[in-house]
Amino acid sequence: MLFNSFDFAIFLPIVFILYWFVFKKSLKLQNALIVIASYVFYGWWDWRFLSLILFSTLVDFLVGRSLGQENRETKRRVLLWISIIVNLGFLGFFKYFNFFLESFQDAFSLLGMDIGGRALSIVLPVGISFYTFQTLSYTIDVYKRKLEPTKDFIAFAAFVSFFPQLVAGPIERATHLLPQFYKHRQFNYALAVNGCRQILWGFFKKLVIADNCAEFANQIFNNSEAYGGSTLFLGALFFTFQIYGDFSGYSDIAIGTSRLFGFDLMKNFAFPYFSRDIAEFWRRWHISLSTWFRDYVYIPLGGSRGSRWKQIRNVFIIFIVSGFWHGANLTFILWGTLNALYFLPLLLLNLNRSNLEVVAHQKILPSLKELAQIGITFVLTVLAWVAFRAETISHAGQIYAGIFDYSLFSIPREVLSSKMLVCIALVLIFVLMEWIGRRREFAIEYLFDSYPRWIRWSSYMMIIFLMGMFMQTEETPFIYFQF
Amino acid sequence: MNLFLKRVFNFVLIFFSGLTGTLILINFLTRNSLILKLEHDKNYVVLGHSHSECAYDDGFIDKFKNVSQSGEAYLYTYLKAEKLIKQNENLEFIFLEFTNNQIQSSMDIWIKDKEFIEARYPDYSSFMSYTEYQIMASLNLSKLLLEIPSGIEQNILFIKNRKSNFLNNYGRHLKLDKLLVKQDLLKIDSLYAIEQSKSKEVSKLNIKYLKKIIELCRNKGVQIVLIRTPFHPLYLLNKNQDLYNAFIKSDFKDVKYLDFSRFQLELNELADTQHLNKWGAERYSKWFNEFLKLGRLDQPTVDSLILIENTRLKALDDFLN
Repeated sequence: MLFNSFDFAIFLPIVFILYWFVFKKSLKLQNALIVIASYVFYGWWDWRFLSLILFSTLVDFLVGRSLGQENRETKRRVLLWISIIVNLGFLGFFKYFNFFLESFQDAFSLLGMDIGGRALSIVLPVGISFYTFQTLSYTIDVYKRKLEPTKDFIAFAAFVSFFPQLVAGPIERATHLLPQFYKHRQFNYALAVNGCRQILWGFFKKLVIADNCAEFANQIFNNSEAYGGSTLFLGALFFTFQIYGDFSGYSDIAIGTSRLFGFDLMKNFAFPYFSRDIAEFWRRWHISLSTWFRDYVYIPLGGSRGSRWKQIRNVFIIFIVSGFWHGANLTFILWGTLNALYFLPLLLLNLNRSNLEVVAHQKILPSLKELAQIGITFVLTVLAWVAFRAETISHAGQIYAGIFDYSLFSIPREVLSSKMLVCIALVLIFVLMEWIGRRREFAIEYLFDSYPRWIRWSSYMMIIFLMGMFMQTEETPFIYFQF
Repeated sequence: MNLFLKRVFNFVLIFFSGLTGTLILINFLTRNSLILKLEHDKNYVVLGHSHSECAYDDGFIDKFKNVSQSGEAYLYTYLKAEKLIKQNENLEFIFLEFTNNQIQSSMDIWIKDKEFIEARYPDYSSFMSYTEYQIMASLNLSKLLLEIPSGIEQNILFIKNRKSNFLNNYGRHLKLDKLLVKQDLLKIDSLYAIEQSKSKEVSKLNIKYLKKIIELCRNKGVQIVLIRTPFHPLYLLNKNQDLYNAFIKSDFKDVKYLDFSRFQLELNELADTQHLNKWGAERYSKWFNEFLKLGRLDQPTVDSLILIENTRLKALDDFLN
């Protein structure tokens, strides 16, 4: 089920009413309702893959229980590996089987050998990368004794399948989300209102910014041979806002929806395009995934401790794995590598933690230096997104070659249209709103908060009206569903 | 919780009231300012879907304007006819395309399907009464709601350009360059399969609006003639001819009906089995112009003129061969 569908517009109020009115008094029933609702939500897309979620849930629940009862280190390690193999096995099969097969075939064919094998037609279950990582975090934390194993299967199933964030995150940590399923939840008016605002802003990002930018990004990327440097760069800019609007929009809707049910999910985006360096960008972009990799891959590898070479190795591993997590395509590896290369100078100069505060914290506008830093970081990010969006490495190469050309300094007349100018104006308004709200959880968290209700409500209605005016009539899936 | 629900309810209520109010106001302003004016010397119009849109080249027909539009269900034709009659006192005759596919239940798709709502609703939203909104809402509420902003946007454009004549937005002759080639005719099996797969049920909605158009014309003193435009004989393959005849003889027996389907067309005058290309439209329109000039709008005249034209065509063919 898509958030931006009528099905969801009917589904959400029904679950909300049942949750707070019918099952209000029983925590167990509320959790059971969440599990059922989540399975319906997921099954709406393809019910067959519910078995995968159920199997992962069962395996990790049982592994967690066994880890809690087992003190022998060897056996605990075996249990951990069972969970890792099962979860990553599913992920590897559905997401990477064909990629590895074809890569091996290509590699061996270079040596003049045909290893045979046929690519399978595999449907990638929506959100598998998200819930796999979420459930793995539980087993790893239990193994590390950071978390008591749960005895409540329904609460655990609700944690794994919690519908607002099931298919595209935020990837929650068991230590943060699971305990929330144990506590009796009271309806919190302020939290729910805040949730509604965040949902509204999420929809605006998705329907107005992402979907409109997508139209031009697709047009330019799909016909990249026909365009000069300035148009290709414009296409990359559109994709930059498309992916941000799409993914952070989804996260906002997920977090806002969770708040309606009394849950607090972790922040996933913190205005990343206002970052002053790449390290700051990665502290603000897809935070739940970055911190997952930091805690479960980077730190166990040694993190920023040890020799310089080891540090550099760890940075490359973390970025390349992060790229590969997005999909079985060399373009994602290129994207990860580019980001590692951007990050490296900061690491070597010990500047990777120099911008921890929000930019222009006490000021309205940034200083010239900050503006230049933001500009450089933004352009680097835009260039990296080219690799992310390109179909193949050679496609990416062709676009880069096109961008780094004299035609970069021409006016992109071939694609300019009044519709595109409207889209650019919408993006500029959006950037302005984000700048104004950059100290908040999300841009409109406290929009006109000190003003009378009718002004606040009028502003929300204006946002809804803008959505109605500029949204595409197709229900467009979120980009991150494919990951 | 109660406070939250109360405020959500109030917000939704105010929002939808505001939206409805805006819609009503903008529709009202558009309705009073949108111009669909025929030129002074035009007394005849043809309305209908793509068959008539492609067949009648009004450049060759005196006093005549083609206001047909592809994929137009009678619901929209009715709204358009209402507007045309109101704004054009010189309008004497409406020729209304009535062919076999217009009684099929698949016509409902032309009202309820996404792409048809997208294509038609913005232009017609200001003409629609509560009844039409109700019909569309019952058939595809979600799509209708999604299209409301586009309707408002389009109406704002109409209001902004209120001195312009938007008649051509609502239909005009479509010149097709395509040729029907013999290979197309060899696809007879697939054509047959497509026709077989279609429901044999009748579109009650389309018939209802056809009757409303007839009633409207009668009430306003405009003469209405149902016409069937020429097509290739294969068009009738497995079509609902018996059912069609039954309608002509029962529901529409009091309405003037002229069947031009026996007007013979060469393959190079057709774009496909049901649409005339620009060469076919030119010959047919010139012929139709002569027919109108006679001033005898009856089937025997049609038949005798068609016979003469078909004989002439055959003689020409024989001569060329």
